[in-house]
Amino acid sequence: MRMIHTTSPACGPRPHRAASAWAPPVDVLETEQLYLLRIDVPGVDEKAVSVELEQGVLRVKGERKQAEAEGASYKLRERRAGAFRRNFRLPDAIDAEGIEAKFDRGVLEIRIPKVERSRKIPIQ
Amino acid sequence: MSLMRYNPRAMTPWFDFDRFFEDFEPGVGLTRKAGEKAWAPAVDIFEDEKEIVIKADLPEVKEEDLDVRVEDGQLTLKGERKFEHEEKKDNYHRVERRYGSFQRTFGLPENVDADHIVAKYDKGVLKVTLPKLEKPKNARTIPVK
Repeated sequence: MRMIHTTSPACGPRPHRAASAWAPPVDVLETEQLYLLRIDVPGVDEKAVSVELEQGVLRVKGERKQAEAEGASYKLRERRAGAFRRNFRLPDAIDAEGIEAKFDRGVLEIRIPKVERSRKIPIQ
Repeated sequence: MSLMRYNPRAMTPWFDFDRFFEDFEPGVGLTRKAGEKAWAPAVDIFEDEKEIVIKADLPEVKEEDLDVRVEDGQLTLKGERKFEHEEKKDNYHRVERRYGSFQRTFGLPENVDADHIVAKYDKGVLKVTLPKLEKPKNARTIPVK
C-alpha cells in the first residue's frame, strides 16, 4: 500500500484548542522518484523547526514567535503563533537516509526519495 | 501488516484529521471558501506610539507579484500566489495551500504619514510599517486672542 497519512496530534474533542499546536497547510505530491511536502510556515526561523523520522512517522514541529516591541497593542491578530506540528505517516518504500529539508520564502520543503520496493531476482 | 477492518475513510491517502475538525470552526471557513475569487491572507496589526505595523502571511509570493498601495485613505495589499511548480497537478495527493489572487484592504487612521509607508518582504511575510504623524494632518492650533 502506498500512502502517506497525516496523523493528528489529538484526535477527537479538543477542549483546549487555543493551547494546542496549530497545523500549517501542506501540499503533498508524488513523482516517480520522490514524495514532496511543501509546508507554509511564513515568518518561522529555520532554527525553530525540527524534522524527525520515527517509526515511519515524519514529525515536523516548530514554533512561530510573536516577538514585538514592548508597549505595542494588537488591533488584529489572525496569524497563528506558538508551537505548530504536522505528522505524516510515510510509506514503507522510502529512503530514510536521503530525506532532505530546505527553507525558502516561508516554505519548508521536504523531499523524501523512494526506493525500489521489489527487486527482480535473476534466475541462474 | 496485520489484518484490519476495512475503513474507507482511514484508508484514503492523505486524510487529515487536523483539517477535518478545523473546517467546522468559525472564522477559518470564512477565508477558505471553495470557489472564492480572491483569498485573504492572515494578517496581524499592532501599533505603538510611533507607528502601525501590518504583517501578512504570504509564503512563496514573489516581490514582483505583490502590490501595496494607498488610495483614498485605504491601504490595499494585493497580488497573486502563482502555482509555478513544474510538477503535474495530478501528482498531488493534497493541496491545502491557497493559490491565485489575494487581496486585503484596510482603512487608515487620519494620523498616518502616507508618504513614508515602508513595505518589506522577508521569509514569506509582508511587513508594512506606517509611521504616525506627530499631529493629525488637519489639526491646527488656534491662537487665543
